[in-house]
Order: sequence, then C-alpha cells, then structure tokens
Amino acid sequence: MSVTTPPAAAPSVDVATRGRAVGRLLLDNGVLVAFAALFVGLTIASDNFLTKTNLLNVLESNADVGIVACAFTLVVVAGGLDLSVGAVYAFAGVISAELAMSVGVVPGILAGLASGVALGAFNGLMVTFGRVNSFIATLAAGIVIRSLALVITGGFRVAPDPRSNFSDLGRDALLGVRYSVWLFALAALIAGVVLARGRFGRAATVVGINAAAARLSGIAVQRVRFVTFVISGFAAAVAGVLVTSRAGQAGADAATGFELPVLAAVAIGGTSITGGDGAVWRTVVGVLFVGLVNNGLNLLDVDTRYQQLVLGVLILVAVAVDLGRRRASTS
Amino acid sequence: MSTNAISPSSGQRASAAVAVLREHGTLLVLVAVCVFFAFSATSFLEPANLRVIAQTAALPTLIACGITVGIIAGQFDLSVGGTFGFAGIVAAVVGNANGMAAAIVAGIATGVAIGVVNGVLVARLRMQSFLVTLATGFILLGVGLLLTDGSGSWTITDYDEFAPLGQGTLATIQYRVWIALAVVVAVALVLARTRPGRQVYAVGGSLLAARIAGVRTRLVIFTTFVLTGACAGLAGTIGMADAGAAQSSGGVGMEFAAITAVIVGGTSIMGGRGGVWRTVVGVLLLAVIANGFTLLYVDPIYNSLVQGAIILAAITVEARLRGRSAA
Repeated sequence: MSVTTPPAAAPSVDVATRGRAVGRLLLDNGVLVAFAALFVGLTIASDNFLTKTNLLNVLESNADVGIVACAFTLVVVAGGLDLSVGAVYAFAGVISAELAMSVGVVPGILAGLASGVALGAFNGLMVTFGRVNSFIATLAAGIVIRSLALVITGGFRVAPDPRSNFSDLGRDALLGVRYSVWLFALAALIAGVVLARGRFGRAATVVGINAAAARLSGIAVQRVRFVTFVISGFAAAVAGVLVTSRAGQAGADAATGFELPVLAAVAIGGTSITGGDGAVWRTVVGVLFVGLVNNGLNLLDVDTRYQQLVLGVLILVAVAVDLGRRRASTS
Repeated sequence: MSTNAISPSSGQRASAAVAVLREHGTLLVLVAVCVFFAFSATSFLEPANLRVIAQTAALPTLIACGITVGIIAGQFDLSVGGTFGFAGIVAAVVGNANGMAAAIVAGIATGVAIGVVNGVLVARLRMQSFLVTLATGFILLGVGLLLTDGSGSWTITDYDEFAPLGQGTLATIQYRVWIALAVVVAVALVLARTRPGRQVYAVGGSLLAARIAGVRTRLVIFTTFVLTGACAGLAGTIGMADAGAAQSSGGVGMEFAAITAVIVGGTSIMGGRGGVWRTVVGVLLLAVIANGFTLLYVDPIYNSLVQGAIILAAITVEARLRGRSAA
C-alpha cells in the first residue's frame, strides 16, 4: 500500500525484525535482484553476452516496448489501462510513412507523433468526459484505430523511398548508440522524474489509490487521467515512428498484441496493475529483465516462440511477489 | 441489481425510455441491422445464409458464454485463447489414439484443468485474475509448443472420424450450433433461476457484501474459472475437429474478441450485472455485420471499422446512461 518503497528503519533491532526487514527489502526489490542475478548468470554462461554489440542489441530491440512502458506506468499508477498502444503505434507508423511519401520526411514524422497525441486525447476524453472504463474504452478505441490504419493503407505496406532520409531516425546513432536507445533513456528519465518528483506524479498516485478522496482533496482527477492517456498515446507514436523508420515501411498490422508485453513488463517490474503504487525505474528494470531473458534464450539457441512461456512464468512470479509485499505491509 | 430510483417525477417517462434503451439497446441495434440487411442484401434472409451466421457465431458464443459468467463475478479470463489452442492439441493427440469421444472428453477435461489452475491462483491465492490469466495464457502457448515437439500444431490422422463433430448437422443445422445453444441455455438458466446463479451476481456486485451474506465467494469465483475453461476447451475441440488440426496459437486474440462481444451485449465490465443472452446478442450483432458486409461486397477492410465504431457507440451510450441512472 505504501507509495514509496524503502522500508522504514526497524524500531527494535532484534534478529527477527532484522530478518523481516531483509525479507521486505528483497521483496520490494525482487525484480532488481533477479535482474542482477540473471546478468551475472548470463555473463558466466555465454561468452557473447557481455559484449558491447550484444548489450546494445538488447537495448535497441527493447527500446519500443520500453518507451511505451514508461508512459504506460503513469497511466497504470493513475488507475487506468491503455490497451490501444499497439494500434496507436501502428497508426502513427502508417501516418508517418504515408506523409513522408507525399509531403516530406520531417512533416511525416511530426504528423505521426501528433496523431499519437490526438489519439491519446481521444482515449482520455472517452475515459474522463465519456466516463467509460479505461480497459473497455481503449480496447474498443484500439479496434477502431487499427481499422482506420487499415483503411488508410488499403491493406498494403507503405514504404517510403529507401533513398530518402526517412530511415535516418531509426538507423542512425549518436556516440555509437542508436537514437531509439537514447529516446528510451529520455522517456525513462522524464516519466521517472514526473512520477517520483513532480506534483503531477503525486496527484496521479493519489488518483490511483482513491479517486474520490483525490477529488475531495482538490486534485483535478479528470485532468490528471486525461493527461496520462495523452502521454501514453504520444509515447506509443514515438515507438511506432521509430520502428517504422528503422524498418523503412509501415503496415496496419504492426505491433499486434503489443500491449501485452508492455503490460507484462510493467507488472514484472512490480508496479501494481490496480493503480496507486508504482515507479518508472521498476518498469525500466522489468523491460530490461524480460529483454535479458529473451536475449539469453537466443544466445542459448532456444526457439524464440518459447519466450512467451517464460514471459508467462515471469508474470506469475511477479504477481506472487507483489502479493507477498502486500501481505508483508498489512501484517 | 439496477438503481431504479422510484420517484414520481415528470422525467419518469423519459427515464423509462432510457431504461428500455439501457436494457435492450443492443437488441434494438441488432434488429435494426437485420432489417437493413434484409432489404439491401437479397440473400440475407435465406436459410443457407442464416445457417452461415449461426455457424460463425457458434464458437465465439461458446467462449464468450464462459467469459460472461466470469465478468459478472468480477473476474477476467484472458487465458481462453491459449486454452482454445491447447485443448485442441490435447484433443487431437488423444483423439488420434482413442477416437472422437475420447477427444471430446480430453478437450473439455483440459479446459477444466486449466480452469482449476486459474481458479486456485485467483480464488485461493487471491492473485489478480487479469494478470494471472494473461500469464497462464502465455504459458499455454509455450506448453502447446512443447507438446507438439516445437511445431505448434497437431494434425488429425483420420479426418473422417472427426468430421461429424466439425461438420455434422442435425435438422440441417450444424452440431456446433446446437452445442452452443445447449450450453447457453443451460448457463443462462443457472444464472437467472438458481441460487448459485444469484451468488455469481452477488460476488460480482460486492465481494464483501456477498461474503458477509454467507456466500462462499471463493468457491463461486473458482467455479466461474472452471466453467470458462470448460467452454474454451470444448470450443477448441470443435475447432480442431473442423479444421482437421489444432494450433497452439489458434486462439490468440479470442479473449479480447469475447470480452468485446460481452460488453457490446451490455454486461457490465465492473461485475454484478449482465446476462448470457446479452452476450449472444453481442456475438450475433458482430457476426451479422460481418456477414451483411460480405453479401453487399463491401471491402472487408471496412468491416472492422464499422464493428469498432458500433462497439465505441455501445460503450459510450452505456456509460452515459449509467451515469444518468446513478445521478
């Protein structure tokens, strides 16, 4: 239930209390411990793991999930869910590729990002003004948004001229690190500061714990909720435009089911999916942990389709750990 | 159940109209859509076409039927897609060795077993159903791969043996339609007319109040998962018999399609309110739209757009009406 994670110092320093405190600390930071253990394990198990190329590869291939998951964390902490992120991702990619062909690369990319903001605002209005449960609102909005992308493309792939600089954003690097990784870091930093340090983050947390109490204490509940959906839509568009740029083509079927790994990463990090308790650093570790697991499976030559099995087990473990935390904090 | 404030105000007639819309909105839309297609597409009302609609709606109805009971009890089951594929694989493996009857039993039993696992995790260990079933759904996809030596699919060796289940008809209507109908009627009767049925509503309406009133809430929640699993397992078995093979990923996306149909039908996502017949209307509405568009040669890319728009309209209207009745 507590919002901040570090456990309070034990009042009496007997062994049992200290043991409980250590247990609590492990539970609170379970994903971090697991991440560290996996990192060390993979370093020992595979010679190819601890190389600059491989680690950058892990970051690059998880940057899109990471960018969206950071924003998603804000939505979840404020008590909502955004199941339309995959559709917004695809829509923004289609818009950017279409306009890159007809108007120009820069206007295309900007329009893709703007479409994400607009779709996020639409979701936000449905949830606040329309008073529709966010799970349902964004599930339905996702269907419509993806259909719109399908109507725009007519079911075909949209591929801007490969000689144009459309793919620069997705493929170029700064200091040897691709833009996508920088943007992931930036998203984590901004979302993290907003949630943990800002007034908005505190308001979002209170809204997630108890919307009625938040309203009574003077928080503009609807505005806070609205903004989280706009941020989520924007982040999904950033991810969609990035990956479209990297691939050099867009399709209405891109990122189908994308919301599930995002949701999984948030949950595995230890943010409570029912709202009011979470942190962006947790999500970042959750994303990287899942990324490392998949990378490890790749390095050990395991069929990539088994990644879903592992993801399922990780979610279960995360839920169990979260349950343990809750029990520990209520007892 | 509903918050009908009995106040003799001037707006009473208006609120009565709202109540009718609220209660039967989706049904009215379904009727309107049917009338529209009956006039615009000549073959819409032909028995052959109506059979096609019933046939396409049968398995989604079966899955959504279980999902409905879960949602009324306040629980989500996102593992039905995984269950559909996995139960199909188990049924194919067992059926190849022991025939069709064994395959049906194995398929349903697999669904029940998955439901038991979900039910224990949620009801006994009090884990959150949304995440638990998301996880078990992922796990089932992987276990399906393991079971099929990594291929992810399992083929029936003797297709004719299974043809009756997949293709057979009774009074010109496919078995699967009769099966779905039987399950729907049985579940609807239990929900609406029996004590356990009322307890499902009580648990979804207020878990605490139900517990205080003496309802064995954990047992009720557990049972909804078993029922949902059984429905998905049966659907997976029929789907396998029809296609002649089962695929681990064959049911991916079915969970959200089912939830969508449940909501379109008017069952409350918050639990405690709704019904199986509503879900049948929801599934039929989506199936009729898809069918009518095909008959009218509308480009299929517009199908999901119109379906999505109707879903959006349904949930927005529902929320507005609920807001008004609560005010």
